[in-house]
Amino acid sequence: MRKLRKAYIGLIMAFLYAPIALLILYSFNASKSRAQWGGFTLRWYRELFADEAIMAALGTTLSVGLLSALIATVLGTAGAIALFQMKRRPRGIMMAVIKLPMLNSEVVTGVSLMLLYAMVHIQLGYATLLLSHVAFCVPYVVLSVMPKLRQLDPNIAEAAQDLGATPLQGFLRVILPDILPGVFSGFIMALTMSIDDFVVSFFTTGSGVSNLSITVYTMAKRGISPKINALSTLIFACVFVLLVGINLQDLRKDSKRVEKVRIPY
Amino acid sequence: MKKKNRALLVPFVLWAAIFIVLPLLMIVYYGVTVEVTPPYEEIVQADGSVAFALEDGAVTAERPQKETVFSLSNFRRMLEPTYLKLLGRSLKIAAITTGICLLLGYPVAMILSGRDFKRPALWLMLIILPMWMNFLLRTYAWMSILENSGILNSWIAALREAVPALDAWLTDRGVGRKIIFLYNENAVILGMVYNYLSFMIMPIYTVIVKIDRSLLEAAADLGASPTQSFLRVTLPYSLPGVLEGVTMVFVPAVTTFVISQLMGGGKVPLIGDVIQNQFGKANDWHFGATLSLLVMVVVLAFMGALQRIDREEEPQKEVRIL
Repeated sequence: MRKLRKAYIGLIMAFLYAPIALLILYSFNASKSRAQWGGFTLRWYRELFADEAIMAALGTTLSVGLLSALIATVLGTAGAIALFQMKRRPRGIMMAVIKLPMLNSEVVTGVSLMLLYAMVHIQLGYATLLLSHVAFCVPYVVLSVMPKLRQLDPNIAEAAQDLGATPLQGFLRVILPDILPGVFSGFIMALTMSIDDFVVSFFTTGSGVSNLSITVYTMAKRGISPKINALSTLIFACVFVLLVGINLQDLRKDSKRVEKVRIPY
Repeated sequence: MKKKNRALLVPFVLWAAIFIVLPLLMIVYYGVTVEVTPPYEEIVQADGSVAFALEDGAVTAERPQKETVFSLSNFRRMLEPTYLKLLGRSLKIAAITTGICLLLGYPVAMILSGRDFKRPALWLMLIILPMWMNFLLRTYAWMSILENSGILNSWIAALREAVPALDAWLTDRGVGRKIIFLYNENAVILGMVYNYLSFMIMPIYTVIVKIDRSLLEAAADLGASPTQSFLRVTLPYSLPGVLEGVTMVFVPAVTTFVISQLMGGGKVPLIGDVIQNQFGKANDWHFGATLSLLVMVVVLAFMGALQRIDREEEPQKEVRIL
């Protein structure tokens, strides 16, 4: 039975990783068609880095990701603190509103933001892309900071104010250090959501600005290109190093508890 | 903290109003309106200038512009069989996907929460890792394997060359040189299962791992078979995780247009495709908004139904195990 269970996990792993493994393998294939193996080459990697459209898209993805995650973290943290201070009833309503974008499908979020920009006649482009990413990232930050605020001892903040700290000092020296893990995981979550997003970006960008997802979508619709294989390989390598790096310490300690794995979802 | 800090509250509420509430109201607004040009006739007046006569007899020098008027005609259009069929297919494919994800994912969550693996955290991380690669790239990976001149077909061709008997056998059965794997419902479902499987595994695992082991031991002590203790302990306790997983798979599956376009090649249009098309080629934002409203209602109704199940089936404080 035990072997059977292990074999099952093995099968699922194979299902998850086989496509990625093939993608990596064929990114080194000299022959352009996947019909045969034409020997080892780095040609597709060279072509990838020479492809201005892909490189520009990569730049957009990274800059929108970092900027929107940063803005969303500031806004979301401030929002969480503001919500935390509200009375129960209005806070409940606000929380429900904040959760709306998470409940709604991405298509609806994308379409709704696009209509908003159309109403105020903002031309779709980098600015609207960034604004939209901030919009769908903020809820995740709020929800990851909120629990940390609940754990705070209210007396400490009051003590800080009694001892003459300004509200800003009190926040920076007393509250922020305590909620920092929540703020940080909110930031990572926002960054991940932004980098991975396609649907909302698709509806809210324009005038030639496209991120990686949109570029891959356009290329994939046209047909297969070995350059995308190379791109996938590089991205997979980055993700692998990053995630293993983050979790390595915890894994060494080998905890059976899932809470120890940091999965910024 | 006790001191109310309006300096933070006001901008945040304002932000939420502009970027969450207002956009949704825009969908409603677009959904219940249409753009029409009032019917008119061009008339050339005595001095040679052109004027426009409206139906009510008024004559203006300016060409009548399109105007936005309240209308429920898009709701009527939405209920046409074409669109209802598309919605039906979307629901069907999403349901199948969710079912497959549940069947594949539940055992994974259960096995990993057991004692077979020394490092369940590591395995869990490995299951999530592919999800960190861009969603489009993951779908693209399957495309490059399954397309007509893709990896799988080239392997099959090589195998046929190597084994003539197999080639003859396949030819007898009318299997062509290139097997078409993509561009059908199954390909779309495969793409969805691959992309959403870990959304099912994660929440179920989080719940199962927290089940008190002593409950299972007690069940065994009291003579429950493994099947019985699964049905009476593990399953009811894991239900919240299952419902969460079902939501996380079903909602994106119902509304996607990416997977249906890439894996289905436009041959398996879903409701998401139609919405996207209204904002693209068809350029009918009003109808697109109406369809978005439909999708919103369907998704919210679905989640409401799940929540009811959750509340009704919640295990009581005192569990009757046997």
